[in-house]
Amino acid sequence: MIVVKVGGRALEANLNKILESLAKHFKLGKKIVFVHGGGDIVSRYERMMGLEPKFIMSPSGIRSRYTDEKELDVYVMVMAGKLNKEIVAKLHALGVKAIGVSGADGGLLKAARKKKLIIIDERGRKRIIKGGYTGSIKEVDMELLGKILDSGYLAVVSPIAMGFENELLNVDADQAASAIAMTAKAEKLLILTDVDGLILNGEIVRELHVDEFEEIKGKIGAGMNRKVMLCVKAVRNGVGSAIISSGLIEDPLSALEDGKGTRILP
Amino acid sequence: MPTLTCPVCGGEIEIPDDALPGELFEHEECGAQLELEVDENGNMKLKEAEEISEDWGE
Repeated sequence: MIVVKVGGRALEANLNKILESLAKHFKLGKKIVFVHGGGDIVSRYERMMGLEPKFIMSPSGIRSRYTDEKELDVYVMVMAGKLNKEIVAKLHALGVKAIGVSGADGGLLKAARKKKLIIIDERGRKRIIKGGYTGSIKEVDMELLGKILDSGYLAVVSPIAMGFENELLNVDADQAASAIAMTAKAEKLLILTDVDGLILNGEIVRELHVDEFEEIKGKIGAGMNRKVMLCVKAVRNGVGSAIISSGLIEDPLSALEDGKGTRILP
Repeated sequence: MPTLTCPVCGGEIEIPDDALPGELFEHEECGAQLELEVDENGNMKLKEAEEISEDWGE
């Protein structure tokens, strides 16, 4: 089984090629779970509905959406509705039987709500604020996904989880993909993004063994560091290998075989 | 600048006039990470900041 995650920017810029590439690999007989992001698309719909998206900066420089109750409504509508179903429809048009689910369906993703967040505020000072409706994934129940895959469908998963008080939560799609891959002991985890892979000193790193991560983690930018960290965690927990590669190319899933991007290996 | 007491070492710590509730300060003398609390009457005090990991949503 392969878990493929695509971020919102790559998805918006190259949706059709990504889905054609997914269809090609699915038709080769691979079991595929496709986890999509889509933060920028959520922002666009928020503005259409009269809400101005709010963003916050973490102390390590990661910019994230601040999800309050109203924003959560739009987030769920777009992620589990519009975007997820659009992907499913396009896959069907390519001859792929696909089923779209959110992490809340079948109790797939269970997350602990972040009651507080630590941010760098607009004055550049550290502050603790209320956490809103974001969560950190704690449990994955593969029963539903297993049935979907075993029945010959491609699973399209949106990054929403159930909280422990049964509330819906916005969860990071990279984390969702990594958690699903770990639980399923996936053969491969492929994270498609808008860069070619992990770049250090101006050059792409083709292979990274999990034991090498500690040495280099201080040299990686905040957003990429988190992706590499999640890949390292996945490989340490039973995933065969993880790949970070570009979602902007003609056949993005070819990175599964041809050495494109950065491979994270045991 | 208001001067408050560090709840960890009992020493003094100066807080900027424009400090906001939830703002974090490191007490240079003892290294404690402190969070500013402001009650409904505007009274300020410091408490030890809890550990919060960076683990956010999409």
